[in-house]
Amino acid sequence: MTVELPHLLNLGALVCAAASAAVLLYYLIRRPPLTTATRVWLFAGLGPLPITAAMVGSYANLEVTKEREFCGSCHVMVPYTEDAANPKSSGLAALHSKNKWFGKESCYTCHADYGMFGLVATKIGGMHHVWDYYTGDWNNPNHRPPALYKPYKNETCRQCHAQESTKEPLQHRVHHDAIASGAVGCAKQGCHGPPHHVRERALPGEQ
Amino acid sequence: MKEKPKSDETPVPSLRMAPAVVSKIENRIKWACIWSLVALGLISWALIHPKPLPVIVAMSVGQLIGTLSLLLFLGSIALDVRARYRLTKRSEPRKSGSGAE
Repeated sequence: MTVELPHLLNLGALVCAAASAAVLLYYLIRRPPLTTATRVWLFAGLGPLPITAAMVGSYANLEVTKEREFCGSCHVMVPYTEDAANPKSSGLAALHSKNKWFGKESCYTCHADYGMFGLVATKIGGMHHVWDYYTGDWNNPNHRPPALYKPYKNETCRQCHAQESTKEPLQHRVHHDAIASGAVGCAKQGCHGPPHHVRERALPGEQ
Repeated sequence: MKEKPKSDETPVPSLRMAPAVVSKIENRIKWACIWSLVALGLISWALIHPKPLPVIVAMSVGQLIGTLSLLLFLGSIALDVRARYRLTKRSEPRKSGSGAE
C-alpha cells in the first residue's frame, strides 16, 4: 500500500484542524479566565494551527484537483474520464492515461497551461467551467456538450513531444511550419484524434 | 484619628478593568472561536469530500472566515492590552502621589 502525497497532506491538515477545534471547543465550553497562558494557547488554536490547516489543506486540495477522479466529479465529464480510464479505448486521452508517470493526472497534464503561472491560469480556466456547470441546465437535452473555451494548443502536446527531434516522422517534418503556427492541430484535424472517444449526443430515437 | 481613603489602601481593585470592557473582550473572543470553528468545518469538509464545490468554498469562504476570526481575536487582544495599559497609566500618578505624602 502506498501513501500518496496529497493524502498525507490531507491527513496533516485534518490533524491540525482537529487540534485547533479541540482548543476552541475547550475554551467555549469551559470559559477559563483570560490569563496569559490562556491567551497563548487560544492564539495557537486561532492562529498557527488553523493557518497550517488552511495552507496544507489548500495545497492538498490543489493536488487533488489535478486527479482525473476529481474531473469526473461533475457528471457531464464522466464519459470523458471513463473513456480516459478505459484500457481498451484507443483515444489519445486513454493512451496517455496509461502512462505510469502522470496517468492519474492525465486530464490536468494535457489541459494545463504551462509556464510560470500555468497552475493559476489553469485553475482560473477551471473556475469558468465550474461556473458553467452550476449555472447551466446540463440535463436539458438541448444543452451544448462540454467544450474548451479556446482551441487546444499544439504547444501543450509539444511540451513532451518535442518537434525538433531527428526521429520525428516525415509527416511532422513536412508540416513543421503548419504545426508550429497552429494551422494544423495535433488532434483536431484527425492526424491523432479525436482525443476522446465519446459520443457527445445520443442519436434521435435512441434516448 | 482620620481614616485613610480606601483607594490608597487597596490599589489593586482600581487596576481591574470595567466589566463592560471585559465582557466586550470575552464576547469578541467567543465569536472569534465560533467563526474559526465554522472555517475549520469548511476546510475539513473539502479535505474529507474533495469535490469542486467543497474545495472552492473552503479555499474562498473558509479562508476568508478564518482570516476574519483571527483578526477578531487579535483585535480583542489589542483591546485587552490597551485597556490594561490605560489602567496602569491611570494608577501610576496616584501611586506616586501617595508616596510623596
